[in-house]
Amino acid sequence: MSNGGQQRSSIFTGLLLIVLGILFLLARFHPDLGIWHLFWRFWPVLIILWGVAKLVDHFSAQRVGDVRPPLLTGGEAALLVLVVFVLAGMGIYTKIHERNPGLNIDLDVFNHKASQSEELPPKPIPAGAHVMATTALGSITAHVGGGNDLRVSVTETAEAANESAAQELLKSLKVVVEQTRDGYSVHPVNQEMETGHVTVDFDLTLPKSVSLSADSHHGDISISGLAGAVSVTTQVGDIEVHDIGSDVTAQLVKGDARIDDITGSVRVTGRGNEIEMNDVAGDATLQGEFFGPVRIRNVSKTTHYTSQAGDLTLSHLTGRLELDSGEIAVSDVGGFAKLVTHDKDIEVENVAGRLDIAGTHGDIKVTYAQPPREDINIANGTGEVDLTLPAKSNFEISAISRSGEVQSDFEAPGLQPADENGTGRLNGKIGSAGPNISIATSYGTIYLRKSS
Amino acid sequence: MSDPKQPVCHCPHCKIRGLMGPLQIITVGVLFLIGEYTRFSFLELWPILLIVAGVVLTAQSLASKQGHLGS
Amino acid sequence: MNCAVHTDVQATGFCRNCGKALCPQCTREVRGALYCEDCLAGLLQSPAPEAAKGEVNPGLAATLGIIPGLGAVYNGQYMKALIHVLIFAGLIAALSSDLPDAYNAFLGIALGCFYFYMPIEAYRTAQARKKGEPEPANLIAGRDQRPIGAFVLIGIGVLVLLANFGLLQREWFSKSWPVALILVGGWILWDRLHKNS
Repeated sequence: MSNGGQQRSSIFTGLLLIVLGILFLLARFHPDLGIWHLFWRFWPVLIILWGVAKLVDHFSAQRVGDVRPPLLTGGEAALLVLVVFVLAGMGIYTKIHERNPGLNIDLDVFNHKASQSEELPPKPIPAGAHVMATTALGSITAHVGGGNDLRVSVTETAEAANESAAQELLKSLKVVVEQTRDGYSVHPVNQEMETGHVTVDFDLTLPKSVSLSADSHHGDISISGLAGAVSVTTQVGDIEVHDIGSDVTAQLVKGDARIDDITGSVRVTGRGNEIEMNDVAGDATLQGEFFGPVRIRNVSKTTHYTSQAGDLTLSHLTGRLELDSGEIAVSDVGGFAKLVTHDKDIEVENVAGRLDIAGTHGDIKVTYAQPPREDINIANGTGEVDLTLPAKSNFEISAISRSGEVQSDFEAPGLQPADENGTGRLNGKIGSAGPNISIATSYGTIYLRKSS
Repeated sequence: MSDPKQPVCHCPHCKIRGLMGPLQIITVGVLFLIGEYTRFSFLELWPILLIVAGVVLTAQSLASKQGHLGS
Repeated sequence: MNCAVHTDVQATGFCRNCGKALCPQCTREVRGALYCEDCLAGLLQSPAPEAAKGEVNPGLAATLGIIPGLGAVYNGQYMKALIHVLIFAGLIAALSSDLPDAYNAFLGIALGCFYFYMPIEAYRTAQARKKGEPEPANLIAGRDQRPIGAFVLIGIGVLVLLANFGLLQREWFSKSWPVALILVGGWILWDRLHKNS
């Protein structure tokens, strides 16, 4: 009497795990063997070995009289799922690493941190000098203090696999304040090593009449109070600049920027999230792709915004320019306004000078609280145009909506909406010596409204 | 949650199978100690867990199932 | 080995259910599986409560088990599902709060193991249900009928309590927990190796 059919677990799983473990260890400790390269080229061999193992199982089981093992055991299925997860994880990790070269994934669970702070000896600095502060990882804060010195406060946080390696990193890290042609350069040495990295945060106290360049690959930058020019660069980090007596230049890759009270021009380029600029005495230029809300207020000279969403130029913005999830809103422009966009809806209020809008697929809404005195040109692609003018306005209008209609609140003998073969037109004049208004769109309705 | 009616099998196969858990626990502890006190780190040494699992599974599949209870 | 009942006769098999040695006279064979008379009677009188055995899919159970609690729900073990979700949420919450590195390391491993364990548990339970058998012994309950999981939990609770009351230095804990792990593993190992067959 036999003991009944017994199922034997496959010998494949065990051997595979052992081989995988050895391979991973070799890959880590002997990089020269090119294990990953081998794996990349020879992975079909694993499939062949799997098949061979199954054959061995099959025939040995038949010989002993056991039941044949199934084609795919539960264990093998679980292993496959695990391998897929690990590969996917590694793939995602590599992708993230490629996109953010400065990014170090914080595996806090396994890493040890050690930190220390120091005050560097103050260095005398003449008026109008230029300071350059750089850190690959860490924040930079700069503000004005009394006196004629450059004072640097540093906080260093080392991260490594264990306590002693972290302490080693701290010991080998140095912060250098070296004299340059026009001032000083403050930066760390040995910040990123094989065993780990050190986050170096700077807190600078400067005399007022100094200009500053701050560069952090991964960290926030905050600067206030300087009279000299300020230049800020980050890759991952937020930027805050307040109360600067000269020009400000900022470059981001990922982060927010807030720039207020600038007695000069502001220029922000790159990519990022939220941008806010308030109270700029010179020009304000924003160039790049910014996904979050963009808010620009009170720019005395010219505001330029260039991105894939469109091109905007506003002269003497006393109100605001806001771009937020598909909508552009402009209000209170003392000079001219020129907007070229593609798919955004536009809302414009109270442009004192000439208004030019070119859109493609959005709805355009323009309002005037005072009668316009300069020309208005609105060319839309396929969308509505809604223009509201005060009742006492004088103007000459020529409006056409191809395959659409025109509606007007203003009525005069020379001003009647007409329909020619499905195309709406409105041509005529109200009063005399008014500006020219030209509106064109297709498929959308043109509304000419009257406000009291 | 374990069934009182069903006794635990003591055939060689199942005995070795029961060693997987404790061996892995011990290995994790040892690897962390090594990571703490030598220049190696746990993150570098984790494949040893795979090797231990492989050894137990191989031994398990080679062991006889004589006297096996249950399924 | 001799038969358990007829102690002078050579045994030719073992009961599938209780392991008793059986001589040809005591053996009751059903479809190649050997039972002793008592066990066979017991099985016949309390049939396995399984509504539709064929519908249980262990592979599906394992896949669903990747989502905390779902594997147990599939197997109809709602209480266990709730416990799984609670443990998972608790571990995540503890890991997100500001704990020292040592706790994080331990919790990280615990989370990893737990996450790995859930689909396996669902798979084994589904497999047993499919065959109409009672659920397999639980890791936490202890396959050796000793609730090892419970002891570990109590141990951790006591240690953390002592630490909170300043009776135990936190640094002591962070240095020595791998040793604790080794001791626990060693205890289970010794226990399993010294079982009598």
